[in-house]
Amino acid sequence: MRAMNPKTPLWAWLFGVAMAIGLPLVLHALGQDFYISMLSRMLIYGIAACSLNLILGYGGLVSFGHAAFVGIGAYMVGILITEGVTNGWLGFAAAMGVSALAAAIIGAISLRTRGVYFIMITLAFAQMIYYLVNSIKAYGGDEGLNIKRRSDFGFGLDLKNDLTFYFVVLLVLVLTLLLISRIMHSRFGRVIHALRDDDVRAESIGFAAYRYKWVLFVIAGTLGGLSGALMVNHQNYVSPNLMHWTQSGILMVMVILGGVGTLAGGLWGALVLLILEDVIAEYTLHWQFYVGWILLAVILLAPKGLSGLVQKFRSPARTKDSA
Amino acid sequence: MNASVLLQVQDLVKNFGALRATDHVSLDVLHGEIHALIGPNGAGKTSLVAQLSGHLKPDSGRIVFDQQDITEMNTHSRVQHGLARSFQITRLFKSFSVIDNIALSVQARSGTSFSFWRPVRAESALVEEAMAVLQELGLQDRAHDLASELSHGEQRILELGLALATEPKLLLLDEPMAGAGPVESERILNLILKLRAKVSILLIEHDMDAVFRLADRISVLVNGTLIATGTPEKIRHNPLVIAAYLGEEHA
Repeated sequence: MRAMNPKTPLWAWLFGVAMAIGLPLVLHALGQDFYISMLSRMLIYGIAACSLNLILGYGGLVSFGHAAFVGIGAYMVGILITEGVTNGWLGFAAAMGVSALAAAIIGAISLRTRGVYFIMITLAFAQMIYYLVNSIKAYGGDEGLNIKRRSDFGFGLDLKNDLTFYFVVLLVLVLTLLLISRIMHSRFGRVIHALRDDDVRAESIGFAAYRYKWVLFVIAGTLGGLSGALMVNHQNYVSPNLMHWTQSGILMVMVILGGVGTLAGGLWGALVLLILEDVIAEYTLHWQFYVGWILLAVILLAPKGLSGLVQKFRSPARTKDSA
Repeated sequence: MNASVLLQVQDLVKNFGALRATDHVSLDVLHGEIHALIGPNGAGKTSLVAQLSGHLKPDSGRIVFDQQDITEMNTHSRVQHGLARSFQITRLFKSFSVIDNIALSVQARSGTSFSFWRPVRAESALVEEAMAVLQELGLQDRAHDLASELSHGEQRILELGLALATEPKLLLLDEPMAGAGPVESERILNLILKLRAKVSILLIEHDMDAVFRLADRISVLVNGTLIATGTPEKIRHNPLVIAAYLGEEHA
């Protein structure tokens, strides 16, 4: 893994930054704030998918219950606002704290199993939380929870403004990617890479595999909660459907589409899937049918997702560097 | 217990259903010794190593290492106490470079790995220590190649190096020459000779010439039972061993 990613060329960086900052400004100038809101949604899903990619991609652990953490984060902010606590710092801290706690418990149990058992047990936990939230009538039960105000972070930031909200989401996304990148290049990250290669071997040179996986699981759950806190603010609404197993499935599709175990894979997957959803849904109700074909093509033709495909085109001779 | 004994296996038993893989095995490895464990295929050598390394739990008996009962200890704690193994079938971190494989072993014994922010590449101490190990292994020229690009023989050496880099007191080498050609086997043999000065070794090996050249003592395992332990000279002439395993050619 001497070079996890070949260096991204400067023009690509500049283009990305220009798009991320310029596009919403142009849309705003054209009075198309609806599309800014759509962009925010894509970026929030990007954060959620990137957090899942930590366990699924870097950790090689197929967690099928990630939507639970997203939902817990969303509900924490929703419940606090309903109870009159609109302070965003407090709400987001609670969202991440409770998601972390849930991930700590679910991870502690799930990580004792392997393979298909791990998939099933994470799914089972997520469905348990889904039904639990369904039954809490005080906060909407199966009808969901509307929030009348958005989180308040001070500094004169008005999250009701689509443009402001977008830039807050963008900032959170950038910080999340920076954090994930630092983690994966740290000592801890190297152990995680090693565990994915061969966890028995990693134990045999002295690493307590379980503990490292558990911490990774908790970090991923916490960041999932963060994305949920943004999501409830974006929708002004949260319902148990956000935690349904199909949501976990959608996040997994985003990760696989974008690139398993790549830094921004989750983001690319979220962008592509949500754009496809919108575009194809214009023509047919059965958009999922066509997305299925696209996913199949990606898995067969580009197992490393769109990120891998881009790398392959850029440097066909350097495939070993993308390992 | 005798202070010169590093590893003491006491009356170890392991059953797989009706098959008794380890049948009341008692065995000592002394400080500074190369102790070879030989026996026909299916004698239970690898099962014994798995119990010593903590990958398998024995049904009964005790394992005492460096004055401490480690029978219930898990694998990674055993490594931290100085008991490391290599594998018969090579298990490397294949997506890592050669030097990063070794650096990972160094990292496992030096400081906490619950460090999330500082780039591990900036830790020159890890790289330097790993390079020193690679020089000992004779793999320094391949340092920046991927582990998967090494030849089979070089992979066998790196496999041994992963265990060595944990700075063990006792190395469990499970057929280090398995699948290696004559030149590579000689290279591995010389490496083991070089290591004898600093680490005790329990060596499982099928190559009898290597065993008789390397071992201070040899134990012979047949059908899960130790039938003899002694110096190479004694083992070579032991009628039980000749009948069960060696045949006439090594006698």
